[in-house]
Amino acid sequence: MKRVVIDPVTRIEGHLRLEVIVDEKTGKVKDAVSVGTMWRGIEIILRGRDPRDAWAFAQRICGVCTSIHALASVRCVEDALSIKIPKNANYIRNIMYGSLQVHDHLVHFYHLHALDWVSPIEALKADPVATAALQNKLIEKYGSIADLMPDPLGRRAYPRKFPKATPGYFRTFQERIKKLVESGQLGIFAAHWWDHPDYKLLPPEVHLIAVAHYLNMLDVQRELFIPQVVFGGKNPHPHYIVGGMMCSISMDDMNAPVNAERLAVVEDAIYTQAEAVNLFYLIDLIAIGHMYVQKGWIYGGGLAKRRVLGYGDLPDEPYESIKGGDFHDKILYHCNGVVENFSEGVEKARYYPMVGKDFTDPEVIQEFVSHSWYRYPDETKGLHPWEGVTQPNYTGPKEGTKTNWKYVDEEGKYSWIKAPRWRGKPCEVGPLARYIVTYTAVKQGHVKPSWVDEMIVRQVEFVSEVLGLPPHIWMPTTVGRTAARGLEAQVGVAANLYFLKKLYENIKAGDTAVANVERWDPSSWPKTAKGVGITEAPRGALGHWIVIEDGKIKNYQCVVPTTWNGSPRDHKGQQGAFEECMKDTVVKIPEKPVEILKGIHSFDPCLACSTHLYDTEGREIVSVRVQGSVPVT
Amino acid sequence: METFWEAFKRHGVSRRDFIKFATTLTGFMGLAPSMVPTVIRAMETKPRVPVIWIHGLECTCCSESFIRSATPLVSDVVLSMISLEYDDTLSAAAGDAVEEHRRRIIKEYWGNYILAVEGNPPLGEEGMFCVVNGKPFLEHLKESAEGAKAVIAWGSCASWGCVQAARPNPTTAVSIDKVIKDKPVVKVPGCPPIAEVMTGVIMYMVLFGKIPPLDSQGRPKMFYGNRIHDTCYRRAFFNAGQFVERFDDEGAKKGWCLYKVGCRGPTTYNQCGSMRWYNGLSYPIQAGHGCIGCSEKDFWDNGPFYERLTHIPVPRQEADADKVGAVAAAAAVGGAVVHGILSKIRNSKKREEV
Amino acid sequence: MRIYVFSPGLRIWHWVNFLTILVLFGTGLYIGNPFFSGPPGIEATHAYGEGLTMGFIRKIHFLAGYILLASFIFRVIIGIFSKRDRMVLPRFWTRDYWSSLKEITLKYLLLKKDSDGREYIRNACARTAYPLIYLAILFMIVTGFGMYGLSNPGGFWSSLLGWVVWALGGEFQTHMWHRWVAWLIIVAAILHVYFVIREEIIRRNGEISSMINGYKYFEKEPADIGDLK
Repeated sequence: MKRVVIDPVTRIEGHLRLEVIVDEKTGKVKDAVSVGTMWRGIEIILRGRDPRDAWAFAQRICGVCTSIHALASVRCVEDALSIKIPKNANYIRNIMYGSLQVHDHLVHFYHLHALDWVSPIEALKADPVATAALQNKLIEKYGSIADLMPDPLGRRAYPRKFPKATPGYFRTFQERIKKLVESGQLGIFAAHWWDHPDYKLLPPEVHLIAVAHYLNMLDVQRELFIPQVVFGGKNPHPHYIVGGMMCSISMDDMNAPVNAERLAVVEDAIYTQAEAVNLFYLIDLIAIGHMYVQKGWIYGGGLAKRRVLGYGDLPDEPYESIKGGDFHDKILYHCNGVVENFSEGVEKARYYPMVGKDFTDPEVIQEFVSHSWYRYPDETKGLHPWEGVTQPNYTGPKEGTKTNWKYVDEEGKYSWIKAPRWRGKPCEVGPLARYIVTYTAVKQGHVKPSWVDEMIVRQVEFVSEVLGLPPHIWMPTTVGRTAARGLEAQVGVAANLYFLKKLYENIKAGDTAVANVERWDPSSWPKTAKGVGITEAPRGALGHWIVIEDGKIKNYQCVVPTTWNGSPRDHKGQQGAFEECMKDTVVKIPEKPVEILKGIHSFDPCLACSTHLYDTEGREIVSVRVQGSVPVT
Repeated sequence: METFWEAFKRHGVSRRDFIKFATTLTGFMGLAPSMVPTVIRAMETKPRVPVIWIHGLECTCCSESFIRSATPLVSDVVLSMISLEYDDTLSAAAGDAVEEHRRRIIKEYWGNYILAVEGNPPLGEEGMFCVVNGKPFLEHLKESAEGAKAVIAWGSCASWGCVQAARPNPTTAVSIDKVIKDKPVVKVPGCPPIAEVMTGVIMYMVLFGKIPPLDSQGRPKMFYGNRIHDTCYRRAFFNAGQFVERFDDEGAKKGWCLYKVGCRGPTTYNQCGSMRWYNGLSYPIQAGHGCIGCSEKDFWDNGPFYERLTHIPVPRQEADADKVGAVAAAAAVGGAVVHGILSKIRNSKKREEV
Repeated sequence: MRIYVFSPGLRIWHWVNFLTILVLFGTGLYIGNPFFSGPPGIEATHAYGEGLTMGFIRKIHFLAGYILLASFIFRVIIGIFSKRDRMVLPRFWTRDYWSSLKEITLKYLLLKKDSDGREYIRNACARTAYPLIYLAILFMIVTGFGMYGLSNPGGFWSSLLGWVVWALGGEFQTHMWHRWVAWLIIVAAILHVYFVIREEIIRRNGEISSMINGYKYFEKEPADIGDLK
């Protein structure tokens, strides 16, 4: 047995430490520990402030999935104050959301994840002529996935961004990398375990294509966020307002924030997103994934096999409230639910819906701290976010000193992340979770499928056909997790085109309102109000909970995706998704655990998000009558 | 180490394109056209500089902003201009491998590398609110700074403290110049800073081999000299007294001044009005939202963001400076009248006694 | 007895100061919180020249600021060259200052009659309050020109006073301080006017007219007559 430490884990957001206990003979991971190693306390800072400012603070939880915490924040304040936003604001927010999904997923694949699968060193061995031929072949072979994406606008004359497939192009790249390697200054490529056998799994030509696209997409990614810059003023950290959006629309006035020219900028950017996803991302992803699956890489599923969770998103039209249930009546992306035992087959999987009341019910979502550096009065019990207590309780490691660890203490407290649980059980969240929930909900007939749901089912079937494996085999794996993310980026683009068309039509119909300011002044608010804001962040289900009193924030909590996935054990010893994934992985060389990096990177960890604390005095939860539920057909 | 020109040649850039690039760059750094030959000379003679980029308590928005740079594009920066040897976000290697590499670079390039810091160190709990490689980030920061030629403080976190240092600052997070005292620190505030400001600072440092001229607050003068208000395209509406009164009103559609909905442009020093974001595409005011002052010290505690004159903590009341002042003035008048009457009575009695 | 108290220079300064503070306060209130809009329906560029716009009001504010600065310097100069014009300085080191302060406090608390005890040309309370008001005005000048100057970084005013802005914690904080102290000055002015009227009514000593003709009337020789001669 060997205990291997990876700290810092790079190519993620924030600070993460992993410790794995590997059986050197078989390569099996006996146990794994994931440690969130930072804490900032943004919720404490939010207390006593103006709820209309909360989005700006909450947004600073994370700059990679920028905008998503702002969205959850304005949604929870609007939910508390019963504000219904105008149609245009809903469409614009959805386009900003979709752009984040596209950008975040694409950057994750190429810049945070790709180097686990491909190597610039291997790329040097490629034959540029063969690489060009392969690129053509891949476009021909997998390019039809672009047809799965509906384009209701249909305005792009021809693709501006298209993978170059000429030997000269690839030769230039290869020479570039060769000189870089020869200069000895490898920069970002330095010191990695490039000699690992996994880097021999793919032919050198695939490595060259992927490395070329790594650099190509590094320069293109900025364009994917242009819709946020137009509507939100900047990126990272675009602006929002409670009650809608501030980017007023006018086709008559000079100097309006949104006019025909600005919309054209957005439309062009969305088509750039479509090309980057359909012609680069998805083709590279399927090519690499397909080859890995053929080499037997169908592990790393872990918790995804047993339990996944989603909240749902993409409201088609403005909704009355979230806690009242109307949000879930309006959404297009029906990933709101929990699915258990998907790996036994979609028919045998168990499905539980998640609707309005489930977000206020104290029994549904709870957090535990028995292995986290916090103190509860009774650590065998979980607390709903509205009831949590704060008491940092740093205890130090198992071996080493307080400020110089050797190994953390998995028997005791070992992480700055709390352990959220659904009805006392751990869940995996993220694009894979959303795909499993949506696919199961549609296949088992729990929802009336929207066009988004139908597109997801078609995507899953497309990939199943390519891989020659049924969804319950390929989806709950490391490759499946990475694949679901890419497929979801395509849904993001499709949603952007869909909502841009709706925006055009609504403006054409004479409605230019973007903000509902009826309840802008705190004097118009009730003395106390409570709200829930939910969304599907790139990394998974995200919820913000707020309590407003006398016009100020009395209490604010976020339960974020990486808190679910990266959670430590609970009092029953149940492990979170990171730890389960590592335990479901085989490590060839314990000192160079590339497989562990692949698995953990497939979650796209975001540690600044996960590690902050939930703070409030014990308080009763208002009971909320649920008006709507998920339509069952 | 090779020069820029050599690096460009190596990547097949023609002399003509190289000169064009140098000219654009000169304009971009706010230098006079007469400086073009100097820039070209600098690019031909200076070697590439290793950069170690570390992360403390932060949200990675600075790294994200950095990769949004359009001129120069980030691939050119990372591969041809600097040698980004350590970065939590982009480095391929992880764990001890990347840590050993960092130590090797520090030793090998002692006194010659640039340290870029994103985020800040918490001092609470002996620094263990942020842990890197099993040790406090504070130690990581000090160790990395020791041999650095210069230190760049990316963003408001490293420069001022930013959101985690907002009241009540639960982790006792501090700006990096509170713990690095013996090195020049270039503060590049903003949450995040504008992409081209970040790459512009890097370009200046690697081209001229020195830190850019700084103002009294340690910020590069070329980027933080002006108030957003003084460079804002909506300034004419301010001068004309044409204001947005409420979001999405007629003034908002006409793109009038956002002063009355709390814009912090008049008190914020940054390039948003002139360079704007995304190479000139937009900035918050252009999208209809007031500036929140994200490059200013402690801007988080200057809220609410939608009020011009922020609230004074009066229990159970919303009170700004004007309300408190008016009440105080009224009280003074009232008090004077009462005191005057009493004085008159008191002193007229005296007269009778006399 | 009729005593010549206020020099012509001081009297001119007083009224200039009065007018500039009034203008500065009024325009300042608008600048911080523009409670009416500029001319509607006119393009911003042209609206600038049309009546009371923000740009015009700011211009007045800055002009008045310069006048305040000039008059403040004038006030300091006459104070340096004329003993008569230095009477506002408190003399903490004298026993007389403290006994006078006690006496005047008791009078203002209505525990003593105004005619009791000694008479002063400038009592200890006034000698304490005036320097504070001068300091407040100086603070407004320093912060005002500090902020004004930063629109031209590296220029005269920002080199001279830019540091004040950063010392107060940034420009936003400086704006707030500038506003609070403005209100402080206005409250002080109200009290000043009250005490003048009070003096006039109770003592009938020509307090109000003294700032026009320079003379005040006293029943007995004031204790601080030495400061005039």
